Amino acid sequence: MKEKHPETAEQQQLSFESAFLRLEELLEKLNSPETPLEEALKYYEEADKLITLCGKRLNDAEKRIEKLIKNRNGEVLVDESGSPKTEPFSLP
Amino acid sequence: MVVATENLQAWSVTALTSLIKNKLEIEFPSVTVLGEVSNCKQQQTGHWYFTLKDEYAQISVVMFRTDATSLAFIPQNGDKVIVEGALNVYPPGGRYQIVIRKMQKQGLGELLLRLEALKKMIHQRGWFKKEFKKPLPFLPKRIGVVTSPTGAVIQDIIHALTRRGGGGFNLILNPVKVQGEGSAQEIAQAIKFFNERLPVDVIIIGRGGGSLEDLWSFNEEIVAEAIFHSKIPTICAVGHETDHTIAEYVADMRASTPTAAAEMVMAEKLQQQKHLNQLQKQCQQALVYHVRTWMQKMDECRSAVDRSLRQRIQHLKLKLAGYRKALEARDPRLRLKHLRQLLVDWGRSFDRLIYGRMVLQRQRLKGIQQTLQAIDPAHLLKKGFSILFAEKDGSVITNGEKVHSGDKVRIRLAKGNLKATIDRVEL
Repeated sequence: MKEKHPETAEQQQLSFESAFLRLEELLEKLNSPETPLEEALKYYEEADKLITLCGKRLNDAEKRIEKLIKNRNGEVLVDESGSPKTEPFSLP
Repeated sequence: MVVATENLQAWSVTALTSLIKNKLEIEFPSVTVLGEVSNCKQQQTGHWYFTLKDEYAQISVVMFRTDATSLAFIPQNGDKVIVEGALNVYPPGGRYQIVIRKMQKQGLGELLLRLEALKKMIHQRGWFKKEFKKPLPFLPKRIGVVTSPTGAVIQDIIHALTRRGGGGFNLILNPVKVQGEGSAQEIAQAIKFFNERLPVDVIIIGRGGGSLEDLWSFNEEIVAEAIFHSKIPTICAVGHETDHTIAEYVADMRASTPTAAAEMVMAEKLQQQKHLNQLQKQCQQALVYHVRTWMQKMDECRSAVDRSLRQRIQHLKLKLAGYRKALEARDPRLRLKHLRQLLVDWGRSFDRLIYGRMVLQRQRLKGIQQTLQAIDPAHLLKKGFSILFAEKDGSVITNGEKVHSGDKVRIRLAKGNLKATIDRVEL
């Protein structure tokens, strides 16, 4: 676990909320019959991008299953930098 | 009922038994007794019969089938048990017995008592209170799991996360013993470890089902304490049939199974995904609607233009036809034709006229011809006349006075000429 967590849960929640707010806004504009077609297309493009981005965010972390390595006394082993040692864990 | 005999008053057996039955059953409607099981057997009917004994006494016990179904264990001779029931007299057998409703092993009883005491204590500390429950993080990606590396729990969790979450998570298993000596300490340590050394988004603490003894570490104060003080939200999933463990009460969330715990972790993500999908669909629909509306408008415009164009064309066509007719009426060729016809007609009239005149002239000419013929000298010559020419100058002699005897003359006949000399002139 050397890499930093890119965003805290709170930040993520905020960015999702603002994305959804924008999406709702875009949807409203898209739904308005007064919106010219050209603008509607632009709005749709933006919405599509935003949705793709959010979808990517939801699934961005790569699937990783690890197990902490412990010694006989049940203490977690650490590497030189003091980070806990892990090994990949796979189902039997 | 008392019957009088010769000199003694005596009870009937039934009467005495009935009296005893009433006294005993009213006196002991509910008793809790500790003893050792012996002579234990279960009838085909499902009822249990055995003797409860201690060093100095024994008492018959019966447990009817309806109550026996809730037994957590199969009683065996030698088991130390605590039974709860009512005293009952069975007149046909002349016996008294305890009809029991509940029975538990003595050790378990102690455990239950300890559990109750622990629950009470932790309840008094307020650790069960809702206000201490932390919400799960928004989209947990790093999931700490405290359980045995070999049990079904970790498998169930991984399966459920993979199935529902479709990847996109980082699971860190902190392998611990989940039962037996030291297990409570290990579990508590693992929870602390995540909090102090490896900040994950959520911790799932779990184990499979088992007896109260098996699950005991989840009732230990040390585990409850670690869970309560965890800054990371916790989900506790302990398989069991009836009572919940203290750990579950203290944890922020309680899941009935490890699978359910994994689903809780993924719930928000699935919700967001659903919301996103919905928004996407709505956007698409809105756009399609837009395009359709415009297309429809365009179609309408097109047909309107078509209509007006057609009308104009029709109008122009009619106008053109009118001009054409007018023009045709004024075609110079027509006039020419007319004149030509006139010319032809006139020509014919002239012809007729000239022809008539010609016939007339021809007839007159013929008359003249005939007249001329009649006076032609050649013709006269043929009839016997002759012409006399003077030889000296060739002139025709018509007057005898101009001729002298001896003059030479030429006489022209119808055929041939005669030369003669005048003999004499007679006047």
